[in-house]
Amino acid sequence: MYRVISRKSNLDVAGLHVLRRFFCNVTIPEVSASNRYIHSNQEYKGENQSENGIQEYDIAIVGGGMVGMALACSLASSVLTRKLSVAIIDDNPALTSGSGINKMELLIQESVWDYTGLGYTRYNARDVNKEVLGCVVENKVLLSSLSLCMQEKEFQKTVLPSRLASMAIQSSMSSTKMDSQLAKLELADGTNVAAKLVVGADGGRSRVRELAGFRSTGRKYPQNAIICTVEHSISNHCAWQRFLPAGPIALLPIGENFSNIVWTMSPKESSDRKAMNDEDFVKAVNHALDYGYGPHPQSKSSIDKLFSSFTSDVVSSNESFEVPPNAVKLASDRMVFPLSLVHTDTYAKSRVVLIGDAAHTVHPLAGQGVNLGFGDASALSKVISEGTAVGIDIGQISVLRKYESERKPANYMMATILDGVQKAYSFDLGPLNALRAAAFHGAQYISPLKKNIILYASGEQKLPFFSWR
Amino acid sequence: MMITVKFIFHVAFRWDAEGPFKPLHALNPTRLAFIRSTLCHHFRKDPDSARPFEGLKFIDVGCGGGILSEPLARMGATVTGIDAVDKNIKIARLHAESDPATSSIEYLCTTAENLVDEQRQFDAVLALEVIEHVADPAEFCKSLAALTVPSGATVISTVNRTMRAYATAIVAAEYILHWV
Repeated sequence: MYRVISRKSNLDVAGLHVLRRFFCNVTIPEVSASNRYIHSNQEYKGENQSENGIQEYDIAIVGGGMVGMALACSLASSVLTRKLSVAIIDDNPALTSGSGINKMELLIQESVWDYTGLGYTRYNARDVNKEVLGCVVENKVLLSSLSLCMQEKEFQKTVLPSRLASMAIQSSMSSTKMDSQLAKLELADGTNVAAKLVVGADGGRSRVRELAGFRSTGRKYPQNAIICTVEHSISNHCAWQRFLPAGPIALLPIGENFSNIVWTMSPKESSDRKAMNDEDFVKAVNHALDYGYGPHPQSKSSIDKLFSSFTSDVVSSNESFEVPPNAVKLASDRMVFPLSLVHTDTYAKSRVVLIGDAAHTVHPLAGQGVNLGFGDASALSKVISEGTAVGIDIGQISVLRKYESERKPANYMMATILDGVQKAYSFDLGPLNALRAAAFHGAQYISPLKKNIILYASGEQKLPFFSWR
Repeated sequence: MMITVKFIFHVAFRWDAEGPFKPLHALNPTRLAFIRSTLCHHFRKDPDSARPFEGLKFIDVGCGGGILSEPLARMGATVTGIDAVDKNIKIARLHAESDPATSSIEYLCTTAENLVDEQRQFDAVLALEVIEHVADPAEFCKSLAALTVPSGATVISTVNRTMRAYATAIVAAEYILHWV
């Protein structure tokens, strides 16, 4: 089971507003609804069949995950791009079927503290005069919403349930016809398709990135994340995150009495904790979220007094620390993921472009990964729309460069900030601990700073700490 | 028409957005956006439509490799592209064939004057970066006007008549680098 913290991302496209409406009314569409649209558009002759039997599309999106589907949904929502023929290449059966409980929860507040008991910050939606800080949504819920969003419009979309096997983007000059203008894809099931633009939305181990020869730089974090769902005896509406010596643990409400756990730790600890029995694991979670590793943050420490000169107009600054609700039962399997920081040097080549994790993976400590991906999808959709408006070839590098220049600095900024926070917690030293505590208190009591952090993390503001209101 | 592999390279070369014609490709979206909004306004077409020029006949005078003709065709116009240089017309034809949206463009190796003699008329006549190359600009403008239907549109663009533009566009771009 995947989880996502979908704080309202900076998507101003109509489609995602539709999506948000779905969330806010909590009308979670049945996943089975997605069955109906899948092959229903195939009789629509938007795509062209070339003489040699290769299906031709305007856009081939490789990867029908949240980011790839968000792009498709966004394209379906714009009048200029609705008529484009789009193929989504993904063999994930979740795209064609689905089952299980679908959960989502609107986040109203979030508490962050650390193991030393010195640092504590609480964010409340009212700090920025909003009703919600963001949403914690299950992957499945988001995917079925996105599917439904596309289904509503007459959008020429085909899902090809296969994987990408090989790709040719270099124009072959051997023939005497200029048919080499399209990228050609060969799928694992033997299907051949051609497209003006190939979008790699196929995640951290992107096949498109590999086949197109994008170079990337990055490193592995010496950490793994354990992800699972737990049940509480009472309902939980607050997101909690505590920085422990080996990495942060987060408790994210997903509706009713259930919460997701994202717990970062060393690879050895992660294999131990995956191996232990359910009861012991739940105990370890409760320990890590309560008195384990150090004391609770004190309500009025000496550092608080230091910051009390910043009279605070934000609501949450006056709220004292609360202990998160205990987990009573494990409600899913525990899954372990290695963490890495990767950024490709470029996002675009002629006829190929990367979005989401295919272009960049970040540390999960702030749940920002998919938000960056949604930002990419929105920006790419916009440049495709602009290119379509003036009738230029959408696979042309000059079009795709515009997307890259908009998103790359923003993604770099976020990756660097998250890496910095991760680094700040990889040492346990007296002076550093005090410095971290001061940073926490700064975020807790200096209201413009707090507002800026919230707005940046929720994608409403492009840069952190720049606009002091 | 005999087409050699070498000639295919010519087409790829001309149309490579990162290649020697990069400045032309970079300028294109800007001028296309202007043409789109201006002509949508003139012909009272819906600017939100993907193919606003459906049903209109356009001519691209001095079409070169088709860098303007193809976008116009994708915007829905019925396009005729003319150029006095035979090689340009061959490049344009070959490139346009590869996309069904542009394969209907009529490319002719001829001049505006010849089409006036044939009494052809178009809803919009576009001559971008051409007038600075013709021997008699006034006569050329008369031909463009004769090709335009009453209440149609004629679009002409040229480089600025400043020293800076002379140095960059004529001396550097044209004589030294052979871009235009």
